[in-house]
Amino acid sequence: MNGHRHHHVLGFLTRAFIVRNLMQNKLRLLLTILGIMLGVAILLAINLANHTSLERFKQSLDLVAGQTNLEISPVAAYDMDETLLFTLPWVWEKQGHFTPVIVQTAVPADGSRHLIYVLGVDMLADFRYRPFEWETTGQPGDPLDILKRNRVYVGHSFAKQNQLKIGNTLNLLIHDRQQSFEVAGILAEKGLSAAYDGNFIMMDIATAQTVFHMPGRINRVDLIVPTEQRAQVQQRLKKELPPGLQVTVPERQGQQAEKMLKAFQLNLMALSFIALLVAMFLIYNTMSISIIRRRTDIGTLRALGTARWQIMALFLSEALVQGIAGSLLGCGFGVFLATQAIKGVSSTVEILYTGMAVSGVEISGPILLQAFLLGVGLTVLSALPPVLEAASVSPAEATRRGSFESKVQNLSAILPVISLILWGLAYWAAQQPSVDGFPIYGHTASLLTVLGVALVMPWFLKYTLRLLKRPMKGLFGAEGRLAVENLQGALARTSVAVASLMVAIAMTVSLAVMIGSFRTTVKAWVQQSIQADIWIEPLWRKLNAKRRINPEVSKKIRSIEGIAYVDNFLEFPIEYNGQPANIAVGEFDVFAKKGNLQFLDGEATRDVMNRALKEDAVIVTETFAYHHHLKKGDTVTLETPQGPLTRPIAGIYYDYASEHGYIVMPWTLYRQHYEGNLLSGIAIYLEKGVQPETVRAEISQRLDNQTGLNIVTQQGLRQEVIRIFDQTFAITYALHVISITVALLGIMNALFALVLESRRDFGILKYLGATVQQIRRIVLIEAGLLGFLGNLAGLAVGFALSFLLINVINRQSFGWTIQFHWPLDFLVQTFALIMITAIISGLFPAHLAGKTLAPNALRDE
Amino acid sequence: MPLTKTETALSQPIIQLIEVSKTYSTHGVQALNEISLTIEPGEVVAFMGESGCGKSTLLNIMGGIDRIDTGTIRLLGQEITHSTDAQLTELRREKLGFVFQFFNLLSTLTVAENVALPLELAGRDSAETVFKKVATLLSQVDLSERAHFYPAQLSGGQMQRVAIARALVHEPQIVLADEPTGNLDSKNGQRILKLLTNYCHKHQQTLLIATHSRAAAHYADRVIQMRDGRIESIDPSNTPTGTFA
Amino acid sequence: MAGVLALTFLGLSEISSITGAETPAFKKALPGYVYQFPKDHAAHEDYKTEWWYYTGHLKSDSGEAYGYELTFFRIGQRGNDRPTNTPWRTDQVYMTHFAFSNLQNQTFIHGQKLNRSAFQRAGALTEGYNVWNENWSIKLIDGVHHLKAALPDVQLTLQLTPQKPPVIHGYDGVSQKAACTGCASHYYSLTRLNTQGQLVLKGQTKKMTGTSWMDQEFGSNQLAENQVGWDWFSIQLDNNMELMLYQLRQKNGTIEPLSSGTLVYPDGSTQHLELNTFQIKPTGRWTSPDSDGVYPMGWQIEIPSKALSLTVTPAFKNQELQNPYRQGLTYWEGASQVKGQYQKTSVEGQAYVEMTGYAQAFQSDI
Repeated sequence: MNGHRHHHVLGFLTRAFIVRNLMQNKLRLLLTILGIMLGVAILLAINLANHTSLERFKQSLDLVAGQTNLEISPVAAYDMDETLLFTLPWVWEKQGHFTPVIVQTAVPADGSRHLIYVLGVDMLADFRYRPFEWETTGQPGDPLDILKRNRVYVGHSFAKQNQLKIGNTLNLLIHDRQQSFEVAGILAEKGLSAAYDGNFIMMDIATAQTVFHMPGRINRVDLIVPTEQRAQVQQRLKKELPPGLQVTVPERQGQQAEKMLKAFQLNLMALSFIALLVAMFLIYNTMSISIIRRRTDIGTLRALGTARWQIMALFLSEALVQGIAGSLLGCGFGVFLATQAIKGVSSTVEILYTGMAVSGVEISGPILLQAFLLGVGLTVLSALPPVLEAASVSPAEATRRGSFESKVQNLSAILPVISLILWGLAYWAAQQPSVDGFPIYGHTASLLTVLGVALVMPWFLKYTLRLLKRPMKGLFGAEGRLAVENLQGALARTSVAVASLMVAIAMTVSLAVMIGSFRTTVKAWVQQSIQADIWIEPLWRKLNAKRRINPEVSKKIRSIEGIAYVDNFLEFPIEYNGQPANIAVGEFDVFAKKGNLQFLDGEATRDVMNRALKEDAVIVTETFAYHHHLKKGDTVTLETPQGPLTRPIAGIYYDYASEHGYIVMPWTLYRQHYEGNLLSGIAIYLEKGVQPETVRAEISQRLDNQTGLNIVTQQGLRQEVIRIFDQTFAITYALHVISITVALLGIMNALFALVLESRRDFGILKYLGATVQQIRRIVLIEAGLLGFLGNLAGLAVGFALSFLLINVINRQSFGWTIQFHWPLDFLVQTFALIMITAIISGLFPAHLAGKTLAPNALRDE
Repeated sequence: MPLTKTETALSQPIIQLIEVSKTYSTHGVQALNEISLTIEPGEVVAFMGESGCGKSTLLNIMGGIDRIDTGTIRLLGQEITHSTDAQLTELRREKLGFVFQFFNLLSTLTVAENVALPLELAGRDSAETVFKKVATLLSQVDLSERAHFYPAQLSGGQMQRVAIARALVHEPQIVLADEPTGNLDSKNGQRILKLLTNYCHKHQQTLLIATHSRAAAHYADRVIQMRDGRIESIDPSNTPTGTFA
Repeated sequence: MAGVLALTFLGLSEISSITGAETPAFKKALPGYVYQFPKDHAAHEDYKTEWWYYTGHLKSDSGEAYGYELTFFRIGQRGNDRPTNTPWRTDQVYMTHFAFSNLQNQTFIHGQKLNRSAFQRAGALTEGYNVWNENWSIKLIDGVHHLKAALPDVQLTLQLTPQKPPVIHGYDGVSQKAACTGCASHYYSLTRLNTQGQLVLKGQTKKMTGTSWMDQEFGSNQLAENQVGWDWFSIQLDNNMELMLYQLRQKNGTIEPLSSGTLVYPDGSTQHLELNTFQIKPTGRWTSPDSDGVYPMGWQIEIPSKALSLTVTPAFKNQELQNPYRQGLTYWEGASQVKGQYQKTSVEGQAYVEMTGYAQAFQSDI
């Protein structure tokens, strides 16, 4: 009975105070929901974009693995000898099957930069490994045409994009040459063709071996064995396989891909984490303003005998409804943002890691739900402190105007102490090592720093605003002082608004400083390390480390006049201690004479190289040494086709080409332990006084203007490295824009709230003879102040975070040493940009304030 | 009223309303119904009547804060019926002072800052002049020692005295007071009324008070009784002060 | 006869070679061919296509009955790009079908292997009879045919001993399939092979005995453009006689006049049967739930001149092989029972029947 009455009362209160209030303050409702929506949207957008690029890649790997449940692959080599297949027929007796696979990449010779996966398989027998269907208009005429040279079978999207039909000619840049193929089949969008979004090419293994210059070589062997036999077969293979080969279950591929993408994922995760922070502040901003405004109503209700829990239930259910509405809208908007963002993200992933273009967003239920729940949860949580506060004070106090503010003013003395504790913890966390390669403590330190600053914000603003009063009056007259005083009077609100802008700016600044420092470091490194005068590489080599040059090329050019030294270079990805790494092979004697690597201990390149040649030693990059905890003089052990190879490390040098690092060995060592003679690149050193352009032209001529090769001069290569660097980080700039936009919308939101809150004051000012322009100016000055203060705090925190990013987070996840550098011009631009946008975001609230009607404003109260 | 007519010939009326009507569209209530009224310089006029009789609206209209639907208003010899917002603002800033029932001080400003506000918004006086004028006014309302207090730290009577100081600091020709005693006890109310009327008489300022307290009427030269947006009667106050002499 | 499958598999290139668009250096099947056994069991790489075809009826000790089909096709390719540096560009491709009919529970399972001769994944020796595709194989050792084939749950190992000399079909060493020169094959059968061996069915090992039939056929082009499919019968009667009949169906609904058959007497002597000496009348129909193909199901065969009248009844209906990914064919090949009269005496027996060209998929897709 009692419960029923309570229910009834609550229903009445809900109608009277929540529903009606919402109806009458549509603008405020709109702002609240908009704030929540934006918060949820940005979080969702980043998460979805992130999720999509990884999931698509993993799905593709799964689809390409198909029914395969075991695979044999080289551990630390580029490819393997196919005669292994002679030793496998016993697998048939176990009711199993096995088939060779070549996985390579090519570039369509149509000028597009898109790298495309090429799958070389036994086209006769492959159906059972990778089921697929033909498009009705894309069926091969004669199945045995498969045996003819240069037939390709293309995925549906690739066919569509390039308007390919059966019988058409397709030109591909493969390694260092252009080759023509006949399209003999088009895969329907089912099964295998869904891999790589339908952007891939399949060809018979015979064709693949020929066009990729890999006679007798394959990349792996796929096996299908009955589940109950798998362990036994794997065991036997492990025992019988020649050295340098491993047998694994294909899920590992996904894991490896994940590992490979880990660094990138971390990057994005840190961003989405900051997005979450921004979202949190935004929602808190919105909700706390919405409740503080009705604090007097709460007092009245309490005075009329409403129970504390009823007040809580009332306002929390309001928050819940708004949270649900805002989060739903945010989910929709987030999907839209993600669709836009994915273009940026996937191009980075494509270029850096997977070589695969992603189109469209993968809508993931769990991620949508997560964002939705987080939105609703944060909304309710943000409502909690002000509601708790309002419900806990005596009714008389709650009804008094400004009593909450005075409370915050008092608290602002205690909060700095908490901040100091948080900063202390942050300092401690920054000293901790990474956990499993993940810089969890680094991220914790960032979070603690930001939280500490957020808490110290009222204190900071109290004194800063006090200091600003006089100069602002001097600058803008009465309006200037009124603006300062308005902000000061609403310290709680001002703090939240400035804090949310601060978080966004801090993120921008820290990333900019990190990237700027990184760029400067890389630039300096490029200047020092790239000493060769001319560089020959397969087109788009940078897109994929597996692209190759025929060694004939090197022989052809060696005799050209003016060339002093030729350094044949090879690199290929391997797995080292279960982690991705790379092997590079070079002419150490050439390096000894011409190279200029920067060794950690400052030793001269010549000395290290000569010692390495003498001792058959290797050199490794800083990143490799960091990830594997190696020092100069330690040894590395490689799984080669000739069995394990253990060599000492002659030196560790700075390198920024790969986060996984390189083990570099001389050709003499490589030839003893590995097979294959293809090259990744050729570095050419000229004799003194010879013009690079002349030699470049001569090389081009000798190679009959071979289209698949890129011949660049030193300067061109240096520019190329920087260009790729910039491309890599382009996405982060796009994300800056999103975050700053959201933060500025946050300012607008806060200003709207302030304007609504100040209606009465503006009414009084109008009575006292304030002009519309004066009132507008007050709001604009407030906007500028918020922008300025957010900028100030953001810069300070941004610098702190950039230290963490460079020295802790980056170091722990990538192992790079980055020299600190302030990108001053960017910071000045950001500062100005934010000031301008802050003031622009004040325009509409200012317009609204100017329209305040004096009698109405006073009558409302 | 032949006397008034002769006076008119001598000096222009400070406020003149001719058949002024005003309807609030939102409520559909006719707040003012064809009101014609003339107020002379230096006059103290009390508008009386029940809540909603239109006296506050009338005050707002005479203060250039609200617009009329039909009729004509002249203020200080100037037709303001069709003045722009900017012109009205200028007029308020220079010639008018307002006092409200709920004081309407800005809580974020100190007593002195509140009083200084009209001068600062006008932005004409030097900081020194502003300081002097504020100090003078504060001493006249007997609040010099509270200059740096915040409104929340004052009593109701003190707040209203601050409001009066703020209304008078820029030496307006007309002071409009809407229920100035409505939120005060009778003792404080008396004190406020006395302060206002004395000051206005002394400075030859016209004072218009909207009130429903009989006590207020006591201080007025004229009492205008209103009902349902019309003027019901105009009585010269029982205590003429001889302003007309 | 089953080898015509392979011809269809070759599809367009086969037809284009008929029209003379290509100039394969393959031999044509021409009259006058002289067989030499066992040498002619081995591969004939001079001819474009070749197949080895086994069907049989098996019984376990406890009386359970089974049927099997194991067929190896060899398809030669000439004019492939040569020379080549990859072992995967081969001249020979092998397609193998294995089907298994379980007459107890009327289940039918089948599988296909398609491989080229690289890395010994599949092959057929030219010296000595040894044909394999991965772990499915046939080997002739001391006159005994050793068969091995397996699918998940079914592993079959059989030893087959011929009871009669090879039966050469057609006239003068060629079995004509159409009127054009060379539209023929060299075709012989071992019509009765005593069979024993073992079956591992779902892990259970069973001893098997029974009777098998073997066909081998090789040639370079046989199918004419207007032929859409065929019906083929191999019948083993309990009076120690065997009968092979085939009829090639043409687009216009008529039967190719060169369709024929062979009757084998207990002593191994044979009688060639021209189309006008026999009639095959379907007695029922069956629609495949998988391919939607409508097949005749049950036949009445009359050879009046030999006073032979036989009713052929499939052991069960669904013995259709569907081969995935349009790499092979969809056709019906099933164990059947035979009852009838020969010279007014009742005879019984067993048969394998092959029907192609009934499934819509087959006609529209290839």
